[in-house]
Amino acid sequence: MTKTWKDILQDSMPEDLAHQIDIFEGQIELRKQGKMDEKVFAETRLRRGIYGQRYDNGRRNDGIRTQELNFPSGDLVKGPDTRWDAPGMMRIKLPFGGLTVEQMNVLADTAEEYSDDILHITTRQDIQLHYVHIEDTPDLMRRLAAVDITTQEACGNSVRNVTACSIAGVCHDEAFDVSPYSHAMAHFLLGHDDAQDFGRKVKIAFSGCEGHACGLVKMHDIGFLARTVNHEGEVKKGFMVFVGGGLGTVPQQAKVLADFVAEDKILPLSQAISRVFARLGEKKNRNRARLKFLVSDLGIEEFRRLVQEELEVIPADPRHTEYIKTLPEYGEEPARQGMILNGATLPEGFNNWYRTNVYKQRQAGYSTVTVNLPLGDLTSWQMRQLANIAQEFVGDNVRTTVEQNIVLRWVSDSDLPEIYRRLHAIGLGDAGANTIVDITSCPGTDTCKLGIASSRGLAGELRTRLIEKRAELPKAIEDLKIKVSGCFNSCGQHHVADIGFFGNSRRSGNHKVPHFQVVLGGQFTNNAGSYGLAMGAVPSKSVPDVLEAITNRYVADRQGDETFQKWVERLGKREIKAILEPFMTLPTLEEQPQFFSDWGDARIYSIDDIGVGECAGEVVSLFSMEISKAESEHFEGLVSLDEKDYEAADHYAYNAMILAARALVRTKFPDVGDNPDTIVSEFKTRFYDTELFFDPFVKGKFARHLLQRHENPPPQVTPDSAYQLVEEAQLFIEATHTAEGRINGVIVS
Amino acid sequence: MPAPKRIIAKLFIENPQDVHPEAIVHLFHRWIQQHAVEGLLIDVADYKHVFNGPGTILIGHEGDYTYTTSDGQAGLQYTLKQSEAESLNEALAITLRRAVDAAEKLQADEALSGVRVNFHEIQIALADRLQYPNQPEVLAAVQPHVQALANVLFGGETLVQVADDDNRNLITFIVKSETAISLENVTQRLAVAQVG
Repeated sequence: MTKTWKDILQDSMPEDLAHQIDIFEGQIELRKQGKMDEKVFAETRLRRGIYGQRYDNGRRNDGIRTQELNFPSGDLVKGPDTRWDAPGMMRIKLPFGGLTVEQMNVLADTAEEYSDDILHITTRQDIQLHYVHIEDTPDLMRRLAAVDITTQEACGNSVRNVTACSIAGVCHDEAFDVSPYSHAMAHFLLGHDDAQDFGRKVKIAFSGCEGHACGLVKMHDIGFLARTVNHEGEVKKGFMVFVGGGLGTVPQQAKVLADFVAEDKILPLSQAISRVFARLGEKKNRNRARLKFLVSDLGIEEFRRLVQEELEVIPADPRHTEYIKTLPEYGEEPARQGMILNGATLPEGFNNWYRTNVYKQRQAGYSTVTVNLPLGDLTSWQMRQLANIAQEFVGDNVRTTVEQNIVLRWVSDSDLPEIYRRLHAIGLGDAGANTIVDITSCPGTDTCKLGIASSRGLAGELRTRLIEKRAELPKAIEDLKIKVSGCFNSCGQHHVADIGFFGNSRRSGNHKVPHFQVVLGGQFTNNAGSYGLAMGAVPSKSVPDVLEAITNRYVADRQGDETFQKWVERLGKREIKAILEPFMTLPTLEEQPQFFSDWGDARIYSIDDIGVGECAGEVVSLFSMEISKAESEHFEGLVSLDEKDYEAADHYAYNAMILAARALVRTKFPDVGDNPDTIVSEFKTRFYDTELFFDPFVKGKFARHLLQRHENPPPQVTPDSAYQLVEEAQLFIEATHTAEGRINGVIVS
Repeated sequence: MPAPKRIIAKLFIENPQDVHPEAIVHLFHRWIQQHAVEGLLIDVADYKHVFNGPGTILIGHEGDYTYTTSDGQAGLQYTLKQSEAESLNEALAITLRRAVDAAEKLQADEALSGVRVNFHEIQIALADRLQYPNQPEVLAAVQPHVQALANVLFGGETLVQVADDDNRNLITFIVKSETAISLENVTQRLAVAQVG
């Protein structure tokens, strides 16, 4: 029999991840058979990091007309108006951006076998693979799980990747290394019961210091800023905690929830915030469903009071503080001894690269090297070569960054020339990391359903032009940040750039023209300390000239070492508008047809392809998500019957009933936990004894299937008993659906 | 041998310096408009900014057509992603036929004026580490299949080489011949040999 990845990797995957992937594989089958609601499947898919892509509604404007994309699976969908066979995106979570050599090699393999040979680093330290088929995702996830990577909760209404400074632990300014805390937070909240019923996503970030950018905590839903306090002569570690920050269409600066929270209190605090958000956050209107709106509506004082109230009733959980014990052991092992760079022959181009791409660590003899990735992209081959370099020089000390680059940490200074040579040989030796040429961009119209203009096309064009004249660029603009989003949703983080752009469109005659709104004066430093302001929209094809006009004027006007933000503030909106105005006039299609196509796209521009985004996930009730787990277990039971594995069938059927009961109990008692005894006891008290579960005709019959199996497990599982239990589980699940609808009203909102 | 999950065939461009990268973007969009090549064609992905990368990809459902610069050598590549093929030979045949078809269309396109494809040499890779891991015994088992197919297609002396020795890479062969291959030859010879 042909071996599968599941067979091969069974012993390498963490058990819980392996089980989750099996469940999802079962859900794929259920959806194909029409036995799972498309909205529920969409949300469960999103929560596993599997996202839709542009044109997945089966229509695409080819520049002349809108063509139907007749995928072979016909009407089968993987979510509302989302064709089954349409290529999608896989988002891979990397807590604090951490990567090992082994993980790099496996990621390279998966990009080659399931995607288009490109690994894309995102602005939240994730990696994305595009053009992935839904049916390839279980194996893709297994291969990642085998090297301890999960895609779980990378999308959907969940806690997304927990990010942190890419130089945490080697930084000169940090209070302490936030890496192990971000790691602990990511693992604690992954799949946590209290983080499953959000109306929108929650983004969490950690930063080691206040003044520099890396962590960007003030633009996150929840931000942790490392601090120490001196308490009776003892230095205590903890965090200043921010809540309610976010970019999106309505950017908001986070508010201070607490000036100092001790290190052993941050996990229960995040749990309490999650509970308040799940309970009171908006669920129906996705445009107001982020935490920032709840904080804003309640006011920070009331939000703080509610969190405090919640903290007092959260059940004790050993995981709240377990990780503290492991902190003293946390540390990174350099692969080589740190030695100074002394007298070595330096390759051509090294000095420029050294100036922009090398950060001297606080540990003597070591540096962190930024590998500058154009638009955050690298090929599988480049990833493997980078893995070779890492293995030889730095070991597993590799991280992704929010500026869509990769850093190699703990590079011995004496190795820098050789590393530069090696990077140069694989096309990754570009200087200019974190400078004006290192432009951040979201996917935009390349792959995003919401994209209005080609952010990557524009970013690529600007990068090419800036690199061509890098030698002549004035020093004053070298360190400016440029960030581009394809629409107003800010995935390219344009609000925190000196010069930001976000896509929109304007009309000229009977045609639409791709445009970018110019956003000036944002602040990347001070943890995204302030946001830029929109100054006016210009045609996409004029943006390079606009950029030149703005930077020329800044260089000419600059007083002393005035920052770009101060200059924008001093100049005022009227003057800025005057700089932009000459570029705002629109030609006709006949006069200048190039204005009517976007960067890197040969088609006449159209907004017909803009679809419904999946950023917001599907608004599906907690019950629907929970009961779907029961249905998946039941499906596994059916498969086990087919395979004549009756012990397994019995186990899955029983589990299915427990999960269904839990789904119902959690609508009234969210803290029921995982213990089957507690679940059954709560179910009995709340729904059986009260007869709330009872069907008008058969009364409590289906509930008794669970109660009897729980009280009296069969001494020996027989084929007959297994078949019967699988049948009973199905009846119990159906009865639970009915009861929930009767008790709580609408199931899927 | 079973059909691999993905199979890739690349024909090399003889004069890449004469090909403007933007022209390929335009060409692939035209191919979508005109349904010019086989399969459901979805979109064009642009990776020209990536060193030795996939360049420009015409994303399809059954397979992707790529004007690639991988390994530093420009080429027209077809990647078979979804097919009914049940055997390695069948999958190879489909992949080669589509690659050669696309390469001929590329060469004939007036807007590209004078691009030349080398039809004497093909690079073939199997993107399936589950069934075809890059191990000596697997290479040895696959090589005769590639050799047999090459003999049929080129009809004469052919040389099949293993492309590189890094076993993390995909199993990759280079097939070379004195004679050139054409779509007409591919179709006829595969039919005669009943391998497709």
